[in-house]
Amino acid sequence: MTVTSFGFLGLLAAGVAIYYCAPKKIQWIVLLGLSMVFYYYAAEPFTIIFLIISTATAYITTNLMPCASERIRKHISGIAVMGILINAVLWFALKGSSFWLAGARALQRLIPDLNIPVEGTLVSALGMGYYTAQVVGYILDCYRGVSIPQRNPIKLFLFVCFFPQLTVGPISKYSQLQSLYEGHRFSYSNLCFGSQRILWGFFKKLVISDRVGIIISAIWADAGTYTGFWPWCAVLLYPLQIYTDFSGCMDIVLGAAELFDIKLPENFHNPFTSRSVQEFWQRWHITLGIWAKDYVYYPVLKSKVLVSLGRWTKKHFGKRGAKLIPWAVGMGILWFVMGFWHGSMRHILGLSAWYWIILVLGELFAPVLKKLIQFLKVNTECYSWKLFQRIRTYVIFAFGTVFFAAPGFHAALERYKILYTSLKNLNPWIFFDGSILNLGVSWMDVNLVIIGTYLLVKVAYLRVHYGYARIWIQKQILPFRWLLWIVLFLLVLIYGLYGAGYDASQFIYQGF
Amino acid sequence: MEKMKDKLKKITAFVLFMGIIIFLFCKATWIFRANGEEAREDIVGFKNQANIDVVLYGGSNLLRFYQPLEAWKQKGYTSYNYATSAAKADLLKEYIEESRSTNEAQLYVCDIRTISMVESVVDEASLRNWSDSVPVFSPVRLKGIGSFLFSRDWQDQDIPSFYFDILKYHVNYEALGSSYQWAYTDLGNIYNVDKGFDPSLAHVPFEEPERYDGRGELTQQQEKGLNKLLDYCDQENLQVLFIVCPYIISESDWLILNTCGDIIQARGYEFVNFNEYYEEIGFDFETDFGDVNHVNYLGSQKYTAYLMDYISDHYDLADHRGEEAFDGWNSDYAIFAQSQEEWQESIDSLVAQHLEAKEIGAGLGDISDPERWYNKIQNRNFTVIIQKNESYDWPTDDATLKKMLSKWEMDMSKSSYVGVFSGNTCIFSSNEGETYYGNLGVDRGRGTKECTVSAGENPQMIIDGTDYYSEAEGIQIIVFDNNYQKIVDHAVLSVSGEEVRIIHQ
Repeated sequence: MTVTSFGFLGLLAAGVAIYYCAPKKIQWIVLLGLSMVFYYYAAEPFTIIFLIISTATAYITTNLMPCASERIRKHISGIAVMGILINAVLWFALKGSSFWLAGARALQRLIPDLNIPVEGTLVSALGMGYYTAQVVGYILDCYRGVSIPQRNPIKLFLFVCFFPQLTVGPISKYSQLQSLYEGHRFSYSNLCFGSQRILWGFFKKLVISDRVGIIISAIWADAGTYTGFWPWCAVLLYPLQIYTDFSGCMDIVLGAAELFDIKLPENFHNPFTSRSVQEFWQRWHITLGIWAKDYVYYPVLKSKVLVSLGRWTKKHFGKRGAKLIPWAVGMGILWFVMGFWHGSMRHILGLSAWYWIILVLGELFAPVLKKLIQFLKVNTECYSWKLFQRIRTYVIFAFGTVFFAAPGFHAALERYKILYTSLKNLNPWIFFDGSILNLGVSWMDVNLVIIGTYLLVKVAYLRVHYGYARIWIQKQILPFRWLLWIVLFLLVLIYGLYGAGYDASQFIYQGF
Repeated sequence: MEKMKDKLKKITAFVLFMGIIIFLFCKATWIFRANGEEAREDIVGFKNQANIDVVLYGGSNLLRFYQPLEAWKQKGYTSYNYATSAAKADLLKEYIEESRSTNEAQLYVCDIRTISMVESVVDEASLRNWSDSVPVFSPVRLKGIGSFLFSRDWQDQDIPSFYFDILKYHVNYEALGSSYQWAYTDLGNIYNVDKGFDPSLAHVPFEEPERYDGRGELTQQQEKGLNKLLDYCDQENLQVLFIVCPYIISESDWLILNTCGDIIQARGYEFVNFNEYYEEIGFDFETDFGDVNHVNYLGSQKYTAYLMDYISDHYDLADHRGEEAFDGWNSDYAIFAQSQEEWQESIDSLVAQHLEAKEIGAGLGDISDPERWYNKIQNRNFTVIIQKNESYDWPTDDATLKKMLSKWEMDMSKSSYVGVFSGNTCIFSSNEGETYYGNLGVDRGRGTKECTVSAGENPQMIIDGTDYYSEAEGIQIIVFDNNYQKIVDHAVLSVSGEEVRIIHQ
């Protein structure tokens, strides 16, 4: 069962009915029950043991903190570290297996007599990257006194396994999910808003993302034939695919939670309106960014080593150096953790290193660029300059995602090579001769992608001006509102790529 | 009070909105449905028929066999084939139930021939032919899908797409540009002139099947399906005639259907296996069948005549001819009669061709003139298999031989040749020692004959397990009649001096 499956919709419908019929005191138990049903059908049922282990370590370590005797209190940080380590090791053993398997293989090659079992697949828990991050955050929040440890282990288990967010997040903080345990009254607006958001998510995923995916896959599958502008199209379209895939899934997840009157944190905020890479990462996968900042970046910046480094750099490189170098080190560690969380060396070396270098270079040359802009008398407030900045950010992101989209590190490097060599035989006629139809799509598909992209832009605009597009829609007259949702429903029903023959069930970010 | 009003407003709005969504969902489903058009037309068309006296339920065995309008013309009762291809007998209860929502008949005729096909495997088409021809939210449909699927091995099936078939058909985008598909948005428009009759215009000859009187054991699933149908008939107190249409019936089917007959008769219902009445019906097995399971139009005329006599003799049905309310049936018959003429012409011509080919085949062995013989074997009902195992340098300018070699693309200097032709169509031709593997004969449920032909080191001409290759010098040619599935001539083409000769083996 995935969040785009018919089974999930059925579970939601039944779940909402049971949830609001149940007494408020036991509504959280209903959520737990629904989460168990979802897990049973969505994952290997036995892997629930990993969630139980994570919950148990979080429960024990956090509950040892407040009641610790004076003697033990000195060791609270050790207890917290222990809890985090157990979760991290579990994650590393299963989800991060590509790291140690690579090491094991290298060792095996070096010493053939060792016979290390390096083949076969390890079954990890569903959404392990997401819930492990939540559990680590929870332990640290309790350690810092930001959150009060949950006394009921079953309730804590619900925080770990709450079903809508189990597949692709968001990575919620414990304090953000207190409403899980509260009683909720049925609200018509929650039902409407939740359903609307789910529908919009379906539209993004099934109508836009999977169509763009067909084009991209066809190009990379036969890169020898599709040269010239084709690989560039694939690279520049990938951000659209991954955005509509990931954010579409988030819309379904957030909408599903909203049906139960539970607000989950947003993961996206119009990322393609960002004028810089730094801003982009504040708008893309927001909860992972916040998690990494709160639990990695700030603690690192405040660490003795970084503080000493700051002093040392101030002495040797002046004020700017003192600011820039510790910041760059902190960002390096933050990006390393982000790449590591994605679970492979290509993410660390490609994704993380790429954005870190871009960010550091941007910061390093910021004064020069500022002077250049002043010298050229560029009006930085005009629309075209902002548009240029947005396109620049998009292209930088698109280049970075080559590491994300490629099946491996070497494949990613190969794709960069293809991009470079294809510049030598550009073929602009492909945009006019209809050869796109050889990629497994029709003009109808192309038109749907264009219409879908226009709607994305429109919704992004409404979000800037009204908070949410649906708030603007709510202000319109009833026939218009209904017409809008009905058209969206029909678009998904008819043009969604689902059912027999399609494997639209897998989300790109589901693998983490 | 205000709160109450607000609540009421919201509930009304919600119900109305969901109503619109469901309405559009149903309409869209009809537009995109891509199961058999014939099934949809027959099932939906039934809803727009009034006052049907006799409704017949079953699979294609009814669609191809019984002509309701001929019965109207001859006997004056109204009847309709509520049938879909490959319909399984354990779903007939739902067929009756659904049809009764719009029409209560005096007599229900159930063809239970497919009881032997009730198995644990889910035959998707057999269910969809009916379920995707009925309104999405019809309770009988939903119940029927459940009972059909969950009594079989359903685990690998895409269950939601059976209930909401647009999940399967929504990619049928061409439907949006088809006025035929859009017509289903108003079901009142769908009218079936032929009343569920759709003839087979094919022909293959058969031998009359043997009769078996023994009894076979029904599987638990078959028995359950039959009892479900009988229980429903009991419960609703229906007048039901259980039948089995004639076909090339196997021994195992005989045994199962005999047992079914016992069960049905024990429950007080009439049961007629028309396979027991070949002679009375007047079937000619050489001409009246389109395939192993169906009569062709010629057979359907004979069967319809017999069945309508049987029904009018055994049941008290009113003659509506001349009644104003049934005028539509007369105009429908007028259209139908025109079609009948076309069908008759078409099947007559086909049968004549096949019989002519049979006759030609029978006389081939007597022809010694190569040109005459060659012209005769050009008949498209024959498959001609040619094999040469040596290179020849025949000193002749014979025009017929040249014509043959040119058509077969035979290189006389090469030591091997294999060719397979049917009429003017080349199926296989090779001078390079390649082996031909294929099947001979028109299938139509009978199966085909395996054929292997090779030349060179291991020469062979194997048809249906027998090697017909002979050591005689020359080009070996086998002529196979596709309809009768038999070898009609085996000849060797050779040259003696300047003379081209055909020697029949």
